[in-house]
Amino acid sequence: MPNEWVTGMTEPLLEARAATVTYGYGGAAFNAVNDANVYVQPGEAVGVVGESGSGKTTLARVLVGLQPPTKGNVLLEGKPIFGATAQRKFPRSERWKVQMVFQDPYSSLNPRQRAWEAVAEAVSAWQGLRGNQAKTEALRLLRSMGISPEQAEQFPHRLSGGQRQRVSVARALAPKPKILIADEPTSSIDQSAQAQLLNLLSQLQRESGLAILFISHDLGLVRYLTSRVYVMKRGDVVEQGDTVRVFNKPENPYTRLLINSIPGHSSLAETTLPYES
Amino acid sequence: MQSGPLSLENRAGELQDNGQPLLQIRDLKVGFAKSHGILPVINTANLTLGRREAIGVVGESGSGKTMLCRSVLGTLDRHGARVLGGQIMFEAHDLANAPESVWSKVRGKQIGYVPQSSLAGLNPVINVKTQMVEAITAARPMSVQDAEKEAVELLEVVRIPRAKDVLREYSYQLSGGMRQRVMIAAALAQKPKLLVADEPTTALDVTVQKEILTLISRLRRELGMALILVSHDLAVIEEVCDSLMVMYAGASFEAGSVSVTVHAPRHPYTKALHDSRVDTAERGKPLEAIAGEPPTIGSWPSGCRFWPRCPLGDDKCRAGDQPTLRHVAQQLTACIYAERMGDGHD
Repeated sequence: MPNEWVTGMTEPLLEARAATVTYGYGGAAFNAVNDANVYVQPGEAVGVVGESGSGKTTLARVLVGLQPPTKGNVLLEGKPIFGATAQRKFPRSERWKVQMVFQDPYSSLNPRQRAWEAVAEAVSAWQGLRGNQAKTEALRLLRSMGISPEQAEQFPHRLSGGQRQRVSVARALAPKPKILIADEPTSSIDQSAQAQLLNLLSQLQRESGLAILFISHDLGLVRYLTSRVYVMKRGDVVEQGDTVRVFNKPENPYTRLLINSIPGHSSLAETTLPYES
Repeated sequence: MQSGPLSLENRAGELQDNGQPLLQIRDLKVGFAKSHGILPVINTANLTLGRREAIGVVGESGSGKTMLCRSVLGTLDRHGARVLGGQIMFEAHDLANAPESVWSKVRGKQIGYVPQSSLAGLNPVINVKTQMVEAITAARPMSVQDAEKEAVELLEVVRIPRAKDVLREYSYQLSGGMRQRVMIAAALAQKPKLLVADEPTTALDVTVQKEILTLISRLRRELGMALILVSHDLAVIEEVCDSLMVMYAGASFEAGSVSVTVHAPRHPYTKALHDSRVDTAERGKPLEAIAGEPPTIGSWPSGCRFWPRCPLGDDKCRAGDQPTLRHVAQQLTACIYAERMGDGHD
């Protein structure tokens, strides 16, 4: 199989090259991510799907720089940020380019900070704005995510899950990143809030050229939002490619199983339970 | 329709039931008793469930769907809530505000329960066997040996391999799917007429979800049980259920068969819920998000509780109380403008 990053026209924005993450030692050691080659082009919406234990969250942590791979490289705009060839481990001057939206909007916001303060802190840190200027920019970012100035004055517990998640996205946008890594961004919010958030994210991706990597167990979401997808199983990338192709003509049996498990994709009556002949 | 001995038997069973519903919830009101008064969480819910029927209850957080389950299980008081009005008719008995002496004969025996979190449902310091034996002997005193034998049979009914080994294990040694199977087996121990499953697959992977849903719908048919399946996921309900009740802000908004309710709804909220689904959305088209946020418990707007977010909402909608369900075409709907909604949007 040809290496797509070699044949691709543009240089990937963010890339994991032969990245392996090993947890544990000796006999108990296992690879949470095993020799993964994953890349995102500038402005691209890419999905990583897999079930619990597939390694998708570990991969996200490696790509966002929260943890180094045990083996292999992570490259940001072609420059290694981790791995043997990296001169410095993910220098601060580069970190603004990659931002993350976490799964749980309840624990990822400081309960003692008002919504605008959470965003203003990131604005100060990355744009160097202070005081009222930082607040104005924070309110602008929040407004772009559909959070009114009145809501921005609230503490997180006064906001709904969907509102909190939009505050988290506004905060992630503060450094004007090139890529957003969203780890299960909608799994803890209601359906009507999910639609609002996904519309805002895909609008950002289409209109502002922001690349987004969606990590999700929700295949419906990945099918709808992304143009390319990686399917992970127990640390391995078992299938990758154009999202429409993968969903319409999955090549790997595990991908087929996943897709057939989506409610509505095959009837329950025809499903054979495991442990049945 | 199908012929054959099985279907004839089913038909005979239905005739025997005289068409009386197994469960009928009428104008149910539930609230929490707080120091400053009553905080209503359900006002008002209506649900009719026939024998062997499967109904889905869909709603977003705060819609009251979990409190509805607790009303049917008689566990409201454990959560500081109680029935404030209405009826819960189960087999011609009104269970609303029934004393614990009545509930203890119904809960777990005639009405089984599968909770959302199987990790919380099983006791982590007691092995599966002890918990299964407890569930079996709760209503039918028998020797431990007989109960153990039955426990093995029940685990086999829910397709657990190596059932004897699993009996000796503890909940933390089992996967999420296996734990949920054990919970289902325990719920089946008294051969309930009704199974209440509150988001039974929410914490599970998609492949395991499929297994559990397949298992639940198969067992329901084999054992002739009725089912209440609570979910926030319309796709899950479409797969398993015959009928559907939509809840919003503590009230029943619409009820009918699953296919009509999903594809030709008579309430703008049901339509909006369906239109905002990502699993059926067309790639490249924006999702039709519902504007605004659902109201928080206790601060419901006047009139129809959906009017501030509703495309049809006007001054007439904001006046008075939450409209009650009425018949429009094949549906029960709480929208005063239901007639304006066409015959399907797909």
